Amino acid sequence: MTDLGSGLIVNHMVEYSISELDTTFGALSDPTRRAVLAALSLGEATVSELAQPHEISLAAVSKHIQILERAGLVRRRKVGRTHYISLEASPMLDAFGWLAAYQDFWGESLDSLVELLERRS
Amino acid sequence: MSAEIPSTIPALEVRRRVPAPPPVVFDTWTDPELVRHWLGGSAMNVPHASIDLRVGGKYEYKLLSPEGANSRILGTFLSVQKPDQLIYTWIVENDAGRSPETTVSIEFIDLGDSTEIVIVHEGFLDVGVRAAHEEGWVGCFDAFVPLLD
Repeated sequence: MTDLGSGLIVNHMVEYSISELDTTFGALSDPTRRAVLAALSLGEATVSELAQPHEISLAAVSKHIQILERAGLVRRRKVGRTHYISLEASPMLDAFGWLAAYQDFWGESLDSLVELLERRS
Repeated sequence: MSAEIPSTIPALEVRRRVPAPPPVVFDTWTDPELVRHWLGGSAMNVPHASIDLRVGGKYEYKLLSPEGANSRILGTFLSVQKPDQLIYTWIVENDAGRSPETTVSIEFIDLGDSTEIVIVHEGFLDVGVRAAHEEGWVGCFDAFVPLLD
């Protein structure tokens, strides 16, 4: 961690745009949507392929996909009447980075604590 | 289609063995003057720390980054068991705003001449709880890494 990084850690602990995190977490708060994301982690899929394992209507799955799309978690590509859906990882990276900032903060602090204890003993 | 995403957010857990027995480590952790020398690592300055070490007592660390940015970490002690355990709330504040409240639980495990410190930092889902409204947030932080591959 460079000197410049330490300020960023705290910034990330505060900032990581809370509204975007809310949207990400909100979109992830449903089991069907998480299953859709898990399926997409294996690669692009059509809406009907994504709907297949679920015991809900195509329209219902479509609605879940729209929520993921609004949260920026998936992208849609249209070829004729077929809609291909793929994973967009960056919002999840932000959410993950938010947590990682805390991890960095503790790691850095403990390094210094060890140094201090070694000096005192 | 069989990939599964876990339905709980794991807390952030950090463990480190440090070369001093628990009473010394506990004091270093809770003495405001000493906190200034280790919290935030080598780059971050802590110009001021105040600690009212009792259940319900408050603490505040003022941080100054090398770039000159001020921030504060503050919270309330929920459990104080010298020299084994500490639990406190944790909020980070700077010019940009305030982080959601999280909870830090520290265990100091006696290994004779040394101590294993176990930090469990949790409550990161609060922000999601608000966002998910009626839906009830169940998270999947540890599913991120495989998804990002």
